[in-house]
Amino acid sequence: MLRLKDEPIDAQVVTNVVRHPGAGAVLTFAGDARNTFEGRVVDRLEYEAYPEMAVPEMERIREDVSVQWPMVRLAIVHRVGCVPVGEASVVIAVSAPHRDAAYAASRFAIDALKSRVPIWKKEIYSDGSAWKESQGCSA
Amino acid sequence: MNADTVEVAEGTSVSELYSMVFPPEAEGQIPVMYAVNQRYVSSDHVLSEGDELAFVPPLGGG
Repeated sequence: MLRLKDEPIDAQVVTNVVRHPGAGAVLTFAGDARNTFEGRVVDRLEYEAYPEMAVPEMERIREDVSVQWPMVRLAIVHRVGCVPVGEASVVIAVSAPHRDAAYAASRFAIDALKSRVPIWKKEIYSDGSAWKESQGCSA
Repeated sequence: MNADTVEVAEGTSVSELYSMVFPPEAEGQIPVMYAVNQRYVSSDHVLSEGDELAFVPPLGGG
């Protein structure tokens, strides 16, 4: 499962995709929308993607993971559109026979996602700002 | 995202097209990565007929 989603992500569903009887380590990372950015109070985040490339780039990250950790299974779901504070903007689930590979692959995947997958975010502040006028994001 | 179709001379690289599309003062202001047909390429990558080129500004996923 590698996808973009414009609704809340169910981390349990993403995690269940990678579970299998040979995997003793199952690890779920959730990146939540945080309530502050550079000292300002954030109300919500708005994500935009280049979807035609974002999903293929996630596939390439999964290929890189499978080269480095052949036994790891990986699933990534990233939100697009409006994400209220406290909800997950990204969920990454990995499974592996043992925990070392699971932790390493999870860390690799979130770092790779941040540096390679074409997704952008705007912080929408609660104290009134240009971003607040942003269209299409009224959670 | 904005999209446009342009004709370029044979042998034009992705960074050369960037310089044609954006004003000179924009150069170096925002670092961009280049993607052709949904895959990252280096700045000297030469375009072919029908390519889809994206100028990818700093990312914010996660």
